[in-house]
Amino acid sequence: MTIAPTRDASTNQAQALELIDRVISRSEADGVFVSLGSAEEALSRFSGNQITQNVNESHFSLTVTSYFGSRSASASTNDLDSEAIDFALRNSEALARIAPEDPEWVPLLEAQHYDERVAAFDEATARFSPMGRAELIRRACILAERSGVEASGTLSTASSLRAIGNSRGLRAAGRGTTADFGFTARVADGSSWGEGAAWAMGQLATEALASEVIDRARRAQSPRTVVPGTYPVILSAAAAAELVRWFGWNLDARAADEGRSFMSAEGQASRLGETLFSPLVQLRRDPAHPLLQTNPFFADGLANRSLPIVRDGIVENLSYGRFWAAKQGKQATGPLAPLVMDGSEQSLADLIAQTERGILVSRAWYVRYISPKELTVTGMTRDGTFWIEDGKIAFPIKNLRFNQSLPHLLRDIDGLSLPERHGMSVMPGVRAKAFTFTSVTDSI
Amino acid sequence: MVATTTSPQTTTLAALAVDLIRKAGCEYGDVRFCLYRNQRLAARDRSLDQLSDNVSSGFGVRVLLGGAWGFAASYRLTEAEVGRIVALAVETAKASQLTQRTRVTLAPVEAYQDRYTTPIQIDPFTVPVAEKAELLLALNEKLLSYGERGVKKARSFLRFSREEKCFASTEGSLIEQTLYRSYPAFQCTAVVSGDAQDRGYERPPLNIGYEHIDASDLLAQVERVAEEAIEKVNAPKGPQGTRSTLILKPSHLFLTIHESVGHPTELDRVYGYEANFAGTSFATTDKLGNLRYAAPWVNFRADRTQPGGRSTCGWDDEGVPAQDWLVVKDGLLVDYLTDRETAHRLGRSASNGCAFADSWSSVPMVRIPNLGLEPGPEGGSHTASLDEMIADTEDGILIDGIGSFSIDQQRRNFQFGGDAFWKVQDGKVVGMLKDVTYHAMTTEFWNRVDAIGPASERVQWGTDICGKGEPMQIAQMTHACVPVRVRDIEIGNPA
Repeated sequence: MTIAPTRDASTNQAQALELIDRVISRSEADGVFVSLGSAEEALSRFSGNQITQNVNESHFSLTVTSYFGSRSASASTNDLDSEAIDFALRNSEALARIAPEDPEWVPLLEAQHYDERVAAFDEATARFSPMGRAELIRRACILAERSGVEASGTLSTASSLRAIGNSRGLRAAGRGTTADFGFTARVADGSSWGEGAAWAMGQLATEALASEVIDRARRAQSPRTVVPGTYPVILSAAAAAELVRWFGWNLDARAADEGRSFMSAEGQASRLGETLFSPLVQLRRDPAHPLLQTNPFFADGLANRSLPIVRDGIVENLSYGRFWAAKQGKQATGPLAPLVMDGSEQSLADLIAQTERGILVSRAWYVRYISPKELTVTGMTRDGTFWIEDGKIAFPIKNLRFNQSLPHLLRDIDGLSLPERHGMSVMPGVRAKAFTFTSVTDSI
Repeated sequence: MVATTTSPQTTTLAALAVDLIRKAGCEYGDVRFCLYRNQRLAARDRSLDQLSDNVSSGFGVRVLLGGAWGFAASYRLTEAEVGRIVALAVETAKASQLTQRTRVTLAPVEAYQDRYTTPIQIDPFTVPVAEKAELLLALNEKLLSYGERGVKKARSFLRFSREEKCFASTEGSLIEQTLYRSYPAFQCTAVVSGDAQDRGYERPPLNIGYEHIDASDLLAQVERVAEEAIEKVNAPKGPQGTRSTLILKPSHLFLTIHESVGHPTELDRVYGYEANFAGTSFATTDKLGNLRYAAPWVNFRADRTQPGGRSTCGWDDEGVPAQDWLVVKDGLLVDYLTDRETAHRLGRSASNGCAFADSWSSVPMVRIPNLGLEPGPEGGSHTASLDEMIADTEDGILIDGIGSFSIDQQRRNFQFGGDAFWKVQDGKVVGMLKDVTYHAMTTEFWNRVDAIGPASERVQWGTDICGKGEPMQIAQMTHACVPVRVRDIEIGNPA
């Protein structure tokens, strides 16, 4: 048997669910949850204006979680052979029988109601060939060569299928595609980078992105040194996405309730409902966003539907897992992903034109916590950092390290640009009144 | 059940793949059949929230055709699938030729027909799961017994893996390896007066059996860890905008070595292969042999043969034998970390064996091997024990464990935190600090090392979560090291 996302959708998902039914019917446990995933992934990687790595991967996995009372354990296999699947099932049961009672156990989910939509799946992307990838890369590399620039990057496609089911009747299946293009241009002491992410290869403007990145790399040459300090900042949508995702990961209700989060307040109550951020900040979970269109369900079976997170600068929802939600008398939300932040009709150039002085950050890199409790992070700029003066990009500057409170960044936002998809989020470029840079590097 | 990598089925399929690669006219090709078993247990507070036992098997085919690479991988272990995957790898190599400017050439390697198995005393997969679960819940229970004084969260885990792989190449190698890995750790969080601080303990990730899970040692550390979490959350914040002397324990220093010595000397980064993602390197080939990387008493040695090392093996994932060599000798940059492709570009006659692929579905690439700081020689002018370093320090900070870490894409500008910090004053440890970060430039930092611990204080610390490459691959390696003292380093944000 072959279960692959590139096969006919209905047949394929039906086959996946049939297999899940078969595993569930053979279960000897009090309850069982089965998750099946398959994927076809391809990625061409280039450097020095030529392909240096070119890979295709076929994946399959089946994970069985067995429950005896509040005892549970999982086992998985990537072998479709019925003997291997049976081994995984029996192994999960054997482990679950000897697992300790779980004081945080919650019953298996009943059948759920999901939004009536399917994730975006583009047949042409699923079938995009190695030669097709190479041709697009060749065109981008020609642009680089003609400009005397060294190009590096990746062009990738993926098609995936996910099906889940449990012994209480829950069933869900869906498939999707993604296409991503990353492009770096380097020339002398100038560097620039850009990326495009979509659910269809046809949505990626690879040559236009390459041209834009090449032009920015040339303008990034001969960077000057700016004294580290606190400056107004404009973060490209990609840089904003890199920072805001750290914010999204820190909206766990349990951490807030237990005093371990920036959302914690004295006396164990969270800061939910307080105006913490700029009124411009509108953040939500939105799996149905036209640029994303992901499955209407999470891997554990909970529904993934639109949920406001920050409205007019006020945090309205935190993330509740099923155990904590039950304990606190709340509705379980599942993870707060994918994140979508509203922007404006303005371009990043419009934001720059409205800025008297500040720093433009094209890419945020190696972002890590300084204080998880306060949600301060450190990171570096890279691939094109510029000084803005009188509404114009005045000159490139050397890359800087930043040490920044993310709640303060969201508080200080005073301008937004048109949102773009970066990875699995949709973010606008943002302008903030103050952003703290602490040191300079000669690294390009 | 899935076939083992040493089964007749696997070797037959491997021979078929090699034959098909040759028939396709490729100048080189290899195939890796792998079978991974990963067992993970994790406990959060009084809940065992992960108990999983996962098996993954498959094969990856890599071909070099007309000097261009193609790679394809699949989980389906059938003759028909081997045929499809070889054809796809060849088709992909032909596509790579479309952009070709320079032909890939590999540094030569001998053909080997041999096998290697990690020497272990106790197979982790034979130890009852109940015993493992009980250990984690006992650790957490003991940590949570400090709840009234502020310890509110406890986390612990055990990770075990067995990696079986069979490598066959068109050059005649047939190498079978079985690697075992074990890794235990626990951590707690103290929440007091509006702050929350973590403190943890681990026995470093090593290629070793269950004998590494020394329950008595783990349980014996709980009291100290809990007390230090409580002291830390109540401690004053570290200084800002000052310069200070640092005394860094091996549990902390390994990550500084990893980020500022390991990654910059990966030769694929130096050549720009990682420019779009992980970055390049300041340690360019024109600096080989003349870059004053560190003080003259500092030596960094790569070693994939050291017993227990997390990247210790018999051969790398290109069939190159495990070996050891100096990367920084007497403070000078003298070598790199290579695979066969980058070794040839550098003009070397052989790779030093740093190719690694994290899965059957991943293509091998240059990864940091075990890379350690050599201990100070006995009686050396800059050799000092940890106690001697502390006793000799007027004003400084002692750091244990890892916390925040960030470094720029060419590996110059870095900033690190830690898991625990103590103020050192007039030769004595006088109390804990919290929220300390230090910042330096790589070569400036290593040139400010003025004391290195002796061999008796060498510890094999390391990591199992080093990310690099597109698609991202996770590698694991050991950075054996000794304590060091570093003078005049910037602490906190600038004034």
